[in-house]
Amino acid sequence: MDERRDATAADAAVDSEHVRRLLSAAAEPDGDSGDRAGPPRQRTTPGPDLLVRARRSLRRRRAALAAGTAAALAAVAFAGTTTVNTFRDEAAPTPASASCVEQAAADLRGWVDKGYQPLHVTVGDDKRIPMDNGTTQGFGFRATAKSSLTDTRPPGGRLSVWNPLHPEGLPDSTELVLLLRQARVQPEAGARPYYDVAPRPAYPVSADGKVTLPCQDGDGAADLQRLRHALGQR
Amino acid sequence: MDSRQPGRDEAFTAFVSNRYPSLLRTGRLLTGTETGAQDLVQEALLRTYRSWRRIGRTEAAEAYTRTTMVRLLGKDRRRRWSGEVPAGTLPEVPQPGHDEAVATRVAVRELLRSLPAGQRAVLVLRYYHQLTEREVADQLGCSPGTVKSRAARALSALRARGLLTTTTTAAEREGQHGREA
Repeated sequence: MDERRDATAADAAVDSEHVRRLLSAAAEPDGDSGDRAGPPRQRTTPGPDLLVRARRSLRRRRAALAAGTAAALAAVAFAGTTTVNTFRDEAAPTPASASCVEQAAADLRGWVDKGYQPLHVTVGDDKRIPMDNGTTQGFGFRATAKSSLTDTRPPGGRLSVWNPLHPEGLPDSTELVLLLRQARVQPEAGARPYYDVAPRPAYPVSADGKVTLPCQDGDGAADLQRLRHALGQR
Repeated sequence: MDSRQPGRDEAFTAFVSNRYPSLLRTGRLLTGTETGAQDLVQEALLRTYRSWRRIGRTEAAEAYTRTTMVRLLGKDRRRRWSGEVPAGTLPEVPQPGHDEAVATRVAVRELLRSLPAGQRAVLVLRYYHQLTEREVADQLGCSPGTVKSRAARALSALRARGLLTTTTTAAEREGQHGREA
């Protein structure tokens, strides 16, 4: 039985390598690239025009979002509400589609399978603090766990989170959905336990409980509860 | 209005300089043509630029761009090859003396063009990028079972064109088993 399994695994490895080599060959440029018309383009990078287009694309998106926000604010004003949100650099995202929420949940689920917990946390201003567990030094930040997006119990209260790869890499928000798990190396007894943060994803959460998700057409906002529910669907 | 985004611009430009050739290779496999690949990669890069602040890291940017490419491929009917009818025989038959690598390249591209977008994406992510079935499923927003069966069909197509050995591959056996179950 073990021999059969070994043989199947060996077959699979050979298949994979063979297919990979075929695809690698097909991925390379050549004089006859399969295009029906026109000679192959020689340039290997798109050049500065791509950056110009990208800036224009961002500007348009922001204008569209600002217009949408203005319309929403006008509707709120019309309804007699006086609350006005504070806007950051980028305007508030549009509502996330169902597929976007499902995709975000699937992304989180992949990390849950690796032992991480998706937590709604508040991160203080001390995002970059030196941390030392007695053998390793690095940077981290302190956070307060507010809730877990899975059924398991969240670690309580204040957390010390290692963030060695990209201390500034967190979204610019004090409320976030982060993926955390207990760090392999812990501080000396008595100190607050350390947690590792998954490099991605990290979703900002607005004051009204909306989590900002990466959607195909830009950012999308969804209620935290909606993401939690999607995460529970397997 | 000055639309420059100093930090974003520099990081994005460095990312494009470093990773464009690699992304273009993926684009060639996904679209089957050089121009189609350039369009797909650049469209995905525009979206990556817009989300740069949220992506945060170059490693994440590449994965984000690749995922966007795959999803654009599935979304945009213009990039599908549904207008093409798979031929029974290869339209470009290598001539004697034709370089073997070029012949293989042409044959694989023809095969890729004949596959549905979903199978093509699975083939590229699973075997070219060597992602796990779970990772492919996450990127495509489908189940690992779907990935498995699409991979099996794509491999069968490769075999039917004589590009793989004639024996049934392990992935095909698993895919068939998955379909029967």
